[in-house]
Amino acid sequence: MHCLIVAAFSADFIVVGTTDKIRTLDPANCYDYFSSNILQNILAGPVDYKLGTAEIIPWLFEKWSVSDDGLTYTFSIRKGAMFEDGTPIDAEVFRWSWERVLRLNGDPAFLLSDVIDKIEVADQYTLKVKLKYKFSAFVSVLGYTVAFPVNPKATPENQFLDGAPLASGPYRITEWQRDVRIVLEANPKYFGPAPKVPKIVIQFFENSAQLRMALETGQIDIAYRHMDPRDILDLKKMESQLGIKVYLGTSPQIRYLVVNVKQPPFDNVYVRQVLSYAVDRDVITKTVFSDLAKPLYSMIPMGWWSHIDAMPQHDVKTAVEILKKAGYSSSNPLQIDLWYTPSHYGSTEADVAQLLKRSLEETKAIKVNIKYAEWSTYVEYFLNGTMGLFLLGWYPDYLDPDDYVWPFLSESGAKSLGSFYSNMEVENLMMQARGVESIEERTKLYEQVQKFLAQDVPYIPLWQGFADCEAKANISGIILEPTQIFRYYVLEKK
Amino acid sequence: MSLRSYIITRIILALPMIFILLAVIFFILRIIPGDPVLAILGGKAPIEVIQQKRHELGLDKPVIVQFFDYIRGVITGNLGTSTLTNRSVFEELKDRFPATLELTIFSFLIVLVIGLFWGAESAWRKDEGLDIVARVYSLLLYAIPVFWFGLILQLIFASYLRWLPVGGRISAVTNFKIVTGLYVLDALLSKDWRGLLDVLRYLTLPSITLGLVISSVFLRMVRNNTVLMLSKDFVKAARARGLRKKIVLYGHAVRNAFVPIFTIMGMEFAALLAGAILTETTFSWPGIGSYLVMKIRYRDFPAIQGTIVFFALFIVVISIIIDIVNALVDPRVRY
Amino acid sequence: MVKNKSFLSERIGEFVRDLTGSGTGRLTIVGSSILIFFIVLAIFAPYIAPYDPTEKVGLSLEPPSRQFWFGTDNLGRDILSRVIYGSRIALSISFMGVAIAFLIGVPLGLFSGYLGGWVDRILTLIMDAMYIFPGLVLAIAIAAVLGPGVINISLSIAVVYAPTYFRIIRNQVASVKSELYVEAARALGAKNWEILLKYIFPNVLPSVVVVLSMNLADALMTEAGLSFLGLGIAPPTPDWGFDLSSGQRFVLSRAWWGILFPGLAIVFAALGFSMFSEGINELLNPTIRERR
Repeated sequence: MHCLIVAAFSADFIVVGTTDKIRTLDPANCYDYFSSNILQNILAGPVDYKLGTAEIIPWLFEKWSVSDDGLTYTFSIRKGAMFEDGTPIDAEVFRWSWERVLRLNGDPAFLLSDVIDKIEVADQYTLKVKLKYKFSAFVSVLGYTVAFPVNPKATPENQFLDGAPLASGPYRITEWQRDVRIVLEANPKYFGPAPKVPKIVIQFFENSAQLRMALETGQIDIAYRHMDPRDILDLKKMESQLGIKVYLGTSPQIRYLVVNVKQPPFDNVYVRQVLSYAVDRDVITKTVFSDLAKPLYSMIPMGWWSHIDAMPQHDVKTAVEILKKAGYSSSNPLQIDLWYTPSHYGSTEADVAQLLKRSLEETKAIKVNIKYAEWSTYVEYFLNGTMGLFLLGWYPDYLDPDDYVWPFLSESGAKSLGSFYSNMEVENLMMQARGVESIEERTKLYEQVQKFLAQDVPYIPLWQGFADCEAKANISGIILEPTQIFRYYVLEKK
Repeated sequence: MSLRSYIITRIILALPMIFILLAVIFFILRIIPGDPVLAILGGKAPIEVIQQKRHELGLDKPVIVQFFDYIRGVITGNLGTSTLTNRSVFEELKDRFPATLELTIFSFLIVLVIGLFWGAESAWRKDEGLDIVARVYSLLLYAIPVFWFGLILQLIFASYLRWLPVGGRISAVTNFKIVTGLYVLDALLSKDWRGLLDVLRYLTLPSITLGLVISSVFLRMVRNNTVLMLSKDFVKAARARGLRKKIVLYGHAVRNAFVPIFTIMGMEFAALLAGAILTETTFSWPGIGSYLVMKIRYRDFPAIQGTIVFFALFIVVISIIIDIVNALVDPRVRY
Repeated sequence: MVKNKSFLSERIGEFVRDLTGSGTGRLTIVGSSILIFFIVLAIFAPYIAPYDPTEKVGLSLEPPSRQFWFGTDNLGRDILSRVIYGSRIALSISFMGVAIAFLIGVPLGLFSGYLGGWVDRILTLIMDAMYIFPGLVLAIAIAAVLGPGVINISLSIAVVYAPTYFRIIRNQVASVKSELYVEAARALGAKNWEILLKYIFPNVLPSVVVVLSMNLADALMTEAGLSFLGLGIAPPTPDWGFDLSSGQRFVLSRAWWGILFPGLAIVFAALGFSMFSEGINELLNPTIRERR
């Protein structure tokens, strides 16, 4: 027993624990956080983000230019990058990979297929892409793993890859026992700097309590995703005693209530406004998230350009007044169902629903009935308009405010999120913003959009997520990036 | 009926049973609103994309057509492709089965040791101290939910005392060649003694949890059946002849209670599989049970069905084995 | 009929003697006292519980104290009150589940056994298939289909236990129906349903009662397992299994009271049921007693 623990202190490798699962390591089908993050550590992408920031930097694409009509992008590809078997990465590899994404139509394929019209190889190291419409956030989309090239020699052309792809990034995969562990070792053929720790072992756990125990007992060096907020606070309090350090960062994840504007009583804009006054965000972030998550008053997260606190503050009095105007009182209360889904957003969801119920019922003129459904049933219910008021979350596909307003407030987007909101004025504002490059101009447009949000209330933003990581004190190099890319290759162990 | 034709009849009779189980589970799962495409893309991709993907996966076909497609697949040994991971369900089950088998075998050993010896001994000393303790034990453990028991053991031995790991199956540092997937056996094969110790430590809490909880019923059954046998004339006669206790108890009483005990043993093995669902979830044990819970969460129909078919086959096979062994031991069973 | 009556009164006499005299009888008494205790808790919960189980009455995760005997949960609710109210869900679902199983299994078993033929064969096959299958897996699948709610969870538990009743009833009916008094009744022109209800059903009832009491403990545990896996009643309704699974998250913050008390409640209730059924089993069914 003791010899095992000593072995775990070896500096040659770091053991990471997680409760996430790897679904697939084929970029053409990979659409969940943890799988993408593994890919970000074993594959090189067309663009990358500057360490510690959300600023896009050239990576496999050295530079690019946009035609005057905004429809044609020309990319120059870095020379000397290759896969672990020595296959060079050139324009043909990119064309092959992207056309494969479009052909196989995997889960994230719509990110490319929505906007790309045609892909052409201009010469060995130049790629030309024609878009279907002007889209100022296109290069941001290329930061997602769906656009990462794969090795044509080692990837099935007409079906998804079952195992691990050949590496082109800092690490390669040397062992993968599904849901048990995956082992990353330094990739000698990588063009960038070699990782500081030559070997990373990632172990999978079923729940956060086990993850915490594993860290406390020295079974793992780093716990990354998903520790319960209370456990995080506990560990933080006992940092020096346990020899553990807790890292906290921001997250672009937002959580909100969707209001189905077509379903009575929510088709009444007063009712929706009442809800936006009556919800108590602070009690949720405090009780459930121990103040780690922050209350959010707009769909665009705090700290992003164009964010304004558009929604009203918690105000029971105003809520009661509007309720009276709409004809509701304690003798004739507004009866509503509030829905949540128990496992998709972690174990805290039921608590959130119960606190929301409590805060809405503070008005004494609302009666809330809590209901729940498992995730895929939940999705069916919101797509077909069964649910009137329900909790949902959003994780951006590309880091641009566009991804926080277009999917929600455009008519087609609102349909696929169950609010069925439609307002041509808002739609035009967002279209306009997609066509201009200047951030200042776009900021003005998005501010107007957010004011419409507060007025029509098809969504009630509740809080903004946070990122966290807990590690032994001898581990350094942990950076919780605003992009959420967890870079194993910058970790160090003393 | 000859033994051979008995076995063949028994297997043929099992086929419609498996078919019915398949049908029940298939249609139950199809009533649930929602499908795997929604679970993955819901709220993200445009609705047209979702509909197209449903079409590609055949989820828009009439349910009855999907059912017969599926049956055709099962007959040819194809359990379908997981919609969540795009892997063959058969492959995924094959990956996970050794974990469950290992846990089940070790728990079963615990069940056998406790049940057979304690059961026989308390039957011998009916209504004495040991017997009363056994009865209290089996009543109490029967009433303890397996997940709660697991949590409590985890809390004591992993969290407070830190003698044993919290969950999982193997340490990150342990590295021997995986041949059979049964880590204990693999460690033995590669003569990695430190690795063996490591995997045994991981195995301890889950198999004790499952084994103790399941042992309660078995203990009681062994005791009751042995008591019954001890009251039979031929056992009494053996006792009167002055044969040693060991021979009377195990050679006569327990052996002659073999048919009911063996039948219950088989049923307990099936109960272990069900208990494995909750135990594996409690201890992060990467077997079929935690697989099923995860797949239900994502409505991964092919995977859920595959797991259930697998469970069904396993249980049917066990019940056939029980019947055959019983028929071998006691020819009257055949008629 | 007369003979039956004296047999019954004889049995009752024996029953009372056993109840007070033997170890089994004491088991029954302890078991039924536990049951009555929980039934009283469930019925009079509003008078017994010190607080409203869904309201925040203290700080979050307060350890057991004089004010909160069992401590508070993460939302500051009194765990003692939640455990008391939780007996309502636990008892009503296990009673309802078993009752529904009874209502499905018994009539089907009666008809199937009495009619015989291909209907019997198919029904038996279906029921046997469901019987050998791990109950929890079946219950999980059905509970996932039906969604949360007392009735729905009871139904999914009922589906698990219905085959048990079916099998017992069917086999007994099949053997009883060829007995002399049934044949005689049929010869006298009694209708099928009359034979079933008047002659056959009373004869198979005792064994059903025993199974019924045994299933209650199982049903209670299945309900706890389902809600532990997140397939139970929607919060904030107090439910032992649900409270246990949410308490599990805070165990490492040293909030052991969150899992200890709801868990003990499950254990005691299940213990009550199984002691009761064990006793009843041996007292009511001399044949089974002989076998054991």
